[in-house]
Amino acid sequence: MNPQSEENLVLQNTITPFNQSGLTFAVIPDTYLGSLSDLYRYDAIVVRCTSLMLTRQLILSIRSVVRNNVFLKPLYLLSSHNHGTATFSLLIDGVVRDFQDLSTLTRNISSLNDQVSQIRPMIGIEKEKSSLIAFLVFNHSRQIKKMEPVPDRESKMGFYYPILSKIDSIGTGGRSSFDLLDQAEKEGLITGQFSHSGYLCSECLGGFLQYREVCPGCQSSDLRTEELVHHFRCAHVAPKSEFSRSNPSQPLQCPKCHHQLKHIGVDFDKPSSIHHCQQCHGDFQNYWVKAKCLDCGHDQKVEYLVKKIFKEYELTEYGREWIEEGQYFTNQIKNKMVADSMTWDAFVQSVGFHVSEGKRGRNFLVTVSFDNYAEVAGQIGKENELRFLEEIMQMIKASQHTADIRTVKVPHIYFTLFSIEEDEAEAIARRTVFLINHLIRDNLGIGRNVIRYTCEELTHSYLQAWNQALTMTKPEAK
Amino acid sequence: MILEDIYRFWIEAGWEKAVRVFWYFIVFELVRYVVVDYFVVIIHFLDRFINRKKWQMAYQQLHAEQPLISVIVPGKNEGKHLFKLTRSLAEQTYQNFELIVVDDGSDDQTRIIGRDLESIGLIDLFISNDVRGGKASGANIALHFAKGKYIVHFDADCSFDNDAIEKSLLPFYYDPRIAAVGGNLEVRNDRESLATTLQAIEYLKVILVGRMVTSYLNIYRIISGAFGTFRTDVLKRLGGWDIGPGLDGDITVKIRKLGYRVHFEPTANGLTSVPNSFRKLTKQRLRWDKSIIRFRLRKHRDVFYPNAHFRFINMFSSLENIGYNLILNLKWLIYIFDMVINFHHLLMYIIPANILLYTLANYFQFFAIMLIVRNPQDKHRLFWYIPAMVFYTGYYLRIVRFIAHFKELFLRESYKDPWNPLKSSMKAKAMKI
Repeated sequence: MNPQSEENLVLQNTITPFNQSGLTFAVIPDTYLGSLSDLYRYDAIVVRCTSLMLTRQLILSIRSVVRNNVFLKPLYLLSSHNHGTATFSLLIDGVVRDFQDLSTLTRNISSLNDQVSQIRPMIGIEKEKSSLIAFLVFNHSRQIKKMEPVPDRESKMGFYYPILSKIDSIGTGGRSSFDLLDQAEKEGLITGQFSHSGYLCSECLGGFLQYREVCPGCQSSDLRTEELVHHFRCAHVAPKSEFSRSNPSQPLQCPKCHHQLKHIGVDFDKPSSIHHCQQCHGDFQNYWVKAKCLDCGHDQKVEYLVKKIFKEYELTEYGREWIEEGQYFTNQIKNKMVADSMTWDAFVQSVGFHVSEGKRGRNFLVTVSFDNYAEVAGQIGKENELRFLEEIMQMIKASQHTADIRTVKVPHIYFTLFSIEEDEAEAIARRTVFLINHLIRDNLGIGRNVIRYTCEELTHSYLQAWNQALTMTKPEAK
Repeated sequence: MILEDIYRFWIEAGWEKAVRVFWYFIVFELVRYVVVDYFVVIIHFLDRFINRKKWQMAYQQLHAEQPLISVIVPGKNEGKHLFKLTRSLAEQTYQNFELIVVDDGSDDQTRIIGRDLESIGLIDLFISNDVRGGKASGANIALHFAKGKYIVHFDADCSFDNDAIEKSLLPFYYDPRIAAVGGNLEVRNDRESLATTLQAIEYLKVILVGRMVTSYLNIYRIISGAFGTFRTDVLKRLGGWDIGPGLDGDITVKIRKLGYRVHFEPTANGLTSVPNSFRKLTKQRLRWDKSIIRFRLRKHRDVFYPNAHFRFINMFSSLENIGYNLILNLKWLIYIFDMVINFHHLLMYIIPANILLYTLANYFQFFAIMLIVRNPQDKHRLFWYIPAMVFYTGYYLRIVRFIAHFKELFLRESYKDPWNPLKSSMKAKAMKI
């Protein structure tokens, strides 16, 4: 491929490799809709921008592939514009006008890739936590000190944190990303400072609201406001229009005593004003201010809006170490010696062995995660905790084939479904989780489902990244 | 021993001398406030009994029509009373009303309280003015926005029997010529001090009995601002209330001048708080008594003129008011001089006898009131304070009244009263109204 065939790069809906100065770039048109998981093969990514919206979507998609070797890749925009104010500007590493410009970036790219290579891969971490880590890791890799909320019309709340909000499904939710940041702040990984505040819809937490004054009686905003006039001489008080005459140049005239009101403060004053609803003809001084959510349509009094403070965050020293040393692995609760389960290391090795054997059929890894393990553990008590986990293990074992294995890494349980079709794997995972939830609800009296699951296919690339993670992970605490 | 001497003296002196010495009591006080009053009270109850079916029909008509009523409450710094007032209104047997509260430039928490009560629906319309305009302007704002067929004017610090509104509406259906109805007011804080206790007795005599009598004689001339019910169309025709003080009596006279009847309804009961010290009471009464000069003698002197709107009953109503308040007060002074000059050697017999006569008359009135008042058992304690009423009404109130009349007649002091904003008073004075 050479720079002269640039047009081809754009037209094709594929990732096209492009070599420059000893580096291999993945050139992707912004219309690209295919898989992004192979991007780890390249040194950097170049997105050809034809539409801001499509470019934004593609960039957000790339940055949400939560594997170090993809989402942290140096990413450049091929465009004739600067895009400095675009909402995705914080997610890219620069803008190039043509392919020749890429040669000037080789040092930056190498430096970035060096930094990224020092950060441990995030495999085997629960999805929610991985998004937080990705957010922190990305900002750390780009040496972004202040992680600020970015105003964004596409975001639900009107602000978003690059990386984090995308993972949290930007444009439709974004709620838990703020919760994650609060949690990280509580854990001392980051410190937050006030940046903005705003009001959100009490129904959907949308930040795009239309405010208006409405009649407290019929909620109409078809209002007319008039000053009240008090005529001192006869104590008559009425809206100004009642004192007005047909000729506006003539002074006001009192409808009660027919005297002219010439001098404010001497003849009359205006003690207050009043609103008149032109729909229900109600009069009132205190209108309601309502806010209509442009997302969900919920119409609410402003008193009921949810106040949200958007903070700018900074990594603490502890947070920096946490990222650089990959402590988010070691922080996880120690594996317990649960009957019918393997240790974590043995489990990972066995999975690797099985997949590398290349036996027929597809293999799946099911990750079962407790929403709040502490609550569950608190209910069952320390003495019963092991028995509880063993019971779950037996339940899982009953739904697996003989060759399948299991492990516990509180608050997660992993189990395999080897040589099985995807539909069947999904069905088994769903049924097993249903049974576990049922067990917990019946025995602990917790009224809601407390576990979630993911069912992912164990491919070679997945395993490769996993092995990498395993070798970089420090040994479990002795 | 002394009492025996006095008794012996008056027995020996005989009737002729007693009449000569106690002419003021016998001619004015006994005849007007004892004989006439209680005779009329008896007639009133007879009339009620005879017309009971008509009253029953009025009740049925009211409930068949169920008109919307506008309860209006203008006032300054009344926030602390508003919740209690809304509670009192929530208990009313007649519930088809809207509550309009006007905050006349309060400088306390009234606005916040009013807005809160409005937001939770206990007040239908709360209008808060940034600057004070006076009681009349406050009432007129409420009148402007009132949608009801009748207006019930309340003071915020009053509370009412649960059928007070209903009872105050019945007279409109009993007699279509009635355009305004005054409710009865008793003292809520009667146990607070001697001043309030004596006012409690006074209210029973002057408001309950006094207004029952004047209403029956069709010379009823003041509907208390604390509890009055009006036909909205008549009030709007009049342009509402004029500048006070004394706007209660003023609006009543204006309604009478239009040819409508004004009625006192003794069964529509409310409780009001009265001044709890003689200093505050004096201030209040000076204001009230000045208004007799300002409104009866000056503003509404045309009731005495033989013009197209002349009505004998209106003239008589004003004459009775002026006569018993202004002229008899002067006559009482003449009586004192008469006694001091002509009977100074007998004062040791006259004064105790005078006190005794008034006390006996007061007890007679008290017992009579106990027969007609609601909850008489609550008023038994007042029995022990009746002797003090001689000094309260006979001396204290007379002196206050005399001072008020003098100040208003010669100094026009009502225009300086801070009860009304200076801007309005200055205008009223300039216009001689």
